[in-house]
Amino acid sequence: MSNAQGPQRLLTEVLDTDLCCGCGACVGLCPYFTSFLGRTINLDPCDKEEGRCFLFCPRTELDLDGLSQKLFGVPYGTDAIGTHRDIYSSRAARSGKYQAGGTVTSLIEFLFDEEMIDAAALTTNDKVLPVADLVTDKAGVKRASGSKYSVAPTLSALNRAAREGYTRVAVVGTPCQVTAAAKMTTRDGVERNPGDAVAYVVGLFCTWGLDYRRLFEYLSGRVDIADITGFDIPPPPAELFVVETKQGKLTFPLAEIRPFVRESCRHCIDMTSEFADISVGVLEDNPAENLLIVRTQKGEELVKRAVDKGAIIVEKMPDGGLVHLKESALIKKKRALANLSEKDPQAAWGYIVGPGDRLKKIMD
Amino acid sequence: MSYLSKDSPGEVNLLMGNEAIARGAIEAGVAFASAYPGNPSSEIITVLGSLAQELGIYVEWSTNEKVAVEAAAGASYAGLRSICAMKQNGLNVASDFISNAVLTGVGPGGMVLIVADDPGGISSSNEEDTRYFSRLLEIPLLEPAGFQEAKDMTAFAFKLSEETGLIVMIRSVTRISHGRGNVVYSKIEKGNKKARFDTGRTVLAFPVPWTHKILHDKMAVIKDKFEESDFNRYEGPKGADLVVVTSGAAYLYTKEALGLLGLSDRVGVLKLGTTFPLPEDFITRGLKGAKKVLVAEEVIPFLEASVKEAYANHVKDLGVIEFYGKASGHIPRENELSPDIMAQAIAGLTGTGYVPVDPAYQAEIRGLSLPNSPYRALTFCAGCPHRATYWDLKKALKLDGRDGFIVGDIGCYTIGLGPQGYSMLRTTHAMGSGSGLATGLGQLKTFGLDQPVLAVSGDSTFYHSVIPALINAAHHESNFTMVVLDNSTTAMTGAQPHSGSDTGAMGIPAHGLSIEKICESLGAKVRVLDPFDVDKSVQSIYDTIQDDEGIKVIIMRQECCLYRLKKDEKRYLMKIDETRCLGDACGCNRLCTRVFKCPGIIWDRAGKVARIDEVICNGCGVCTDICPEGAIIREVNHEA
Ligand SMILES: Cc1cc2nc3c(=O)[nH]c(=O)nc-3n(C[C@H](O)[C@H](O)[C@H](O)COP(=O)(O)OP(=O)(O)OC[C@H]3O[C@@H](n4cnc5c(N)ncnc54)[C@H](O)[C@@H]3O)c2cc1C
Ligand code: SF4
Ligand code: SF4
Ligand code: SF4
Ligand code: SF4
Ligand code: SF4
Repeated sequence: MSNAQGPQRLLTEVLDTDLCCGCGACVGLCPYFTSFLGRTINLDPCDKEEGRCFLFCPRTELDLDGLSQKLFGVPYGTDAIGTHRDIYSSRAARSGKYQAGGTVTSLIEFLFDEEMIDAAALTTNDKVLPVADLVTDKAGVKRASGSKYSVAPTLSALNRAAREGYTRVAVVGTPCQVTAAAKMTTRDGVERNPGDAVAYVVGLFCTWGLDYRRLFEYLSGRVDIADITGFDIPPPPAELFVVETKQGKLTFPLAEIRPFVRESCRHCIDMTSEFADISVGVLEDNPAENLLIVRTQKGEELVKRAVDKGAIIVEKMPDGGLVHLKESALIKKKRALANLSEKDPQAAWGYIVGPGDRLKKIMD
Repeated sequence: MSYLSKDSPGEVNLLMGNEAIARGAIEAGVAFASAYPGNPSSEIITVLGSLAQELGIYVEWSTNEKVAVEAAAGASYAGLRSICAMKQNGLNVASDFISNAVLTGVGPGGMVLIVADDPGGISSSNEEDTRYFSRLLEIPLLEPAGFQEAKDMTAFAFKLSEETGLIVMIRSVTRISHGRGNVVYSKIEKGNKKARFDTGRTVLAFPVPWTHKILHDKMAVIKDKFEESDFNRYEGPKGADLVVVTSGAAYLYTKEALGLLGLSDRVGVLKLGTTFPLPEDFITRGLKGAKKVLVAEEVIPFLEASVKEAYANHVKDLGVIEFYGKASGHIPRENELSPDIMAQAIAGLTGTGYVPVDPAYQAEIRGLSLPNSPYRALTFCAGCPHRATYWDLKKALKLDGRDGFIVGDIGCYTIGLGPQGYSMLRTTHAMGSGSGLATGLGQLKTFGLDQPVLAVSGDSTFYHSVIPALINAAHHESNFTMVVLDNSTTAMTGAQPHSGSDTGAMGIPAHGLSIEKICESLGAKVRVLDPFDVDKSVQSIYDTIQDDEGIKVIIMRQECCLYRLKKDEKRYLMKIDETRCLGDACGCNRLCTRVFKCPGIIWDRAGKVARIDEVICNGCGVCTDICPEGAIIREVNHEA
């Protein structure tokens, strides 16, 4: 392994090994990486020894302690849902078509209303292909609502926003995307760092994401692709993958869909977007509401203001309500760490550079 | 009136070898000329074409060499003198017809075949020595060793052809075809210009042993003529110890070497101009008394083998002779010869001291020349549409991600093998071979081949030899994408028109055939794209290769930039906004000069910005679309 921190290493260590989660952090920085139908593709060789693609990729040299210190002022802990200040159940004050409680859509709309951001890096569907969407006004936020279960290069919208001169961008993303955003915002001394334009990072919960090309291939023979309007995965123990179409809902056994989970997700230790300002998931007992984890001071102020101004409604979560979530988060961590050490026995935790002691503890 | 068409016997003109051949044909009253372009033969037909109307002759760029030679034979059958020219590779294509025509004979009009070989493969994919074709197919062979001979042999070849009813072949090489020397003119014969096919004659080769016997009888007559030919001569002292047997350009190098060594009066030179059938008696006379014989020729030991064979037949008269040449390692088997190589060989055999070039001087030259010469890669011209085509293909294949590949062909686009064409091309053989390989590869799905197969060819090559492969593919439903790089001309050999052009060799209107219509008639799905429109082309190529049923044809149409600039101004005036250019910083890392590699853009190392080289840039405007920062600015200069 060379000491370089450039694209050649990104290719050999991330893309060639299928560790790429398709987050889009390396897309749109330069002409060399692009995302096409859910895959990140290197178009031409770049010989730089150090480059933003490598520095920001969530699958290279991930220093959990370093990030944690910079974002929260504390080392990386052993709580499976990450460092946090408060945990709420939450929902949008106004009803609408959301994935769950609509907390995310409402907060981003609120940020536009309050002129606290000038753009948002969101994810919409181009037919059924999830694509990065640079939204620059409140009206655009709604078109991104709803979860797309295959991975999108969402961060390329942030990269584009920074290039186009936006300076206060909200990023909504899965844990891997949030990790890339955190690597950007915490990195000093890099020119043209899109992290400089980030105002808020809203994380989503995520257990896995699907490979678009393989999902598409599967659905092609079974559904009229043009008729698809959305997807859902009802909470366990349903074990179903729901495809919403113009003609109504179609269900498929989740077991048939699972093989399309990206290799990268098997090596992902984060279920709750541990490096976000706030993280949002589905409330287990009530899929029409969200679980909201507040992590940073900035996040706390945002939630408070949104509640005060009536954008979202929150309720403190009793500690007992988190047992199951923490369990799932821990299982994901353990599995990922085990897979990582299996994939590359040379490096103890694959792309994660530490802290070894606490990772060991998680494993036990 | 051109200097080539003046009827001025005795006048001396400085002619290029190919012009001398054309002049020889003119003096012989040629009426019909055909060829497929190929260096180093192309100028013969270019010259005749430009004089066609003045001389009242017919000249064409044929679709391929086989058709060219058949067309010329047709004229011969109708009583007209005809000439057909090609490069070495072309003879492979034409040989099928010729191998029959030697038995049937040609018509009452003499027919001369000019084949210009390219030792060293300066502008070829091989360095084939076509003299072996003369033995293989049994065609009388002449090898000019200078410019006067190039003309005189051509005129002589017509007479010989008419006397024997056989095609007569003249083999030139690059240094004869493209060199220049003084030529003394002879009178221009009127020649028969009245064509009539004699319906009393049936042209056929049956029964074969009988017609073959006739051929051999004719060859015996020709051999006798060659024994007396002035194109063969012995130079130097009688009974020399060492005799150099040589022909063609090697004769010139030999003479120069002997001059250098001061050995002209010690070493004999047996210069042969008629090398098949071999004038054995003449050679035996020339070798009388020699102890050593050095055979000097380029590429294959054709003469060496023939002369040794002749020696075996006459060994009683000649006694012991040691032979030197390629077998002994004195003469290299590859590449061109030079006076220097000849001097070393002769010096070695005569024990003469010869220092080729003082090593110190050589080192000094190298020291001075290398650092002072600019680094030049084998590349497409600035603004060449092929660069854009490969750029588009590269991106489409990367997006597709199934490890698709391109098989190819010989032409300017062969540069696609190297980094200047993004190493996109995987194979190159003969004209049209890409399409042929692809018809086979396109059948391998049942064997698990799941990579997209693409083939490239030029437009001229399309007519030359892609069509049969496409017919094969259409008939057998082979699955591949044929990409025709249509730059509207035969660019590699000097922008000759082809079957798609609306003018021909004579500069008068011709019926240009549409590639798309031909392909559509085969049931191919055809798209016509402009390679300069990068985004649209990438998408369209991508869409095409997603369709894995049957043959798909993509015509990448954009005029050769050099051809265009002969008629028009640059399309765009280009400049680079230095404030926007990221140079080698993360964010670009010199995409334009490091990856895209158009020589019209240069990297200013000191200023750390890209710059347009206005002299080299041909103003195609494509780089504007590839720059990630919008730093390359194009301003419309001249709309097409
Ligand atoms: C791939 C994926 C897996 C998930 N897995 C879980 C899980 O296991 N458990 C759980 O509790 N929650 C999971 N979620 C989160 C959940 O589906 C909701 O997104 C979350 O609860 C927010 O709900 P909401 O009603 O506020 O969303 P909405 O208000 O509808 O807003 C959804 C937001 O999500 C963004 N988004 C949609 N798809 C993607 C994507 N593919 N990549 C990045 N951003 C996207 C959009 O930009 C939009 O802003 C997952 C989400 C995704 C995208
Ligand atoms: S981000 Fe920088 S280092 Fe990476 S590929 Fe692009 S230009 Fe090269
Ligand atoms: S994980 Fe993200 S940053 Fe890393 S290679 Fe994949 S798309 Fe690029
Ligand atoms: S499981 Fe991890 S890697 Fe996979 S999509 Fe979710 S956050 Fe990204
Ligand atoms: S416009 Fe650009 S790509 Fe075209 S010739 Fe000039 S420098 Fe080359
Ligand atoms: S591609 Fe554009 S930004 Fe990059 S070096 Fe060339 S001119 Fe500069």
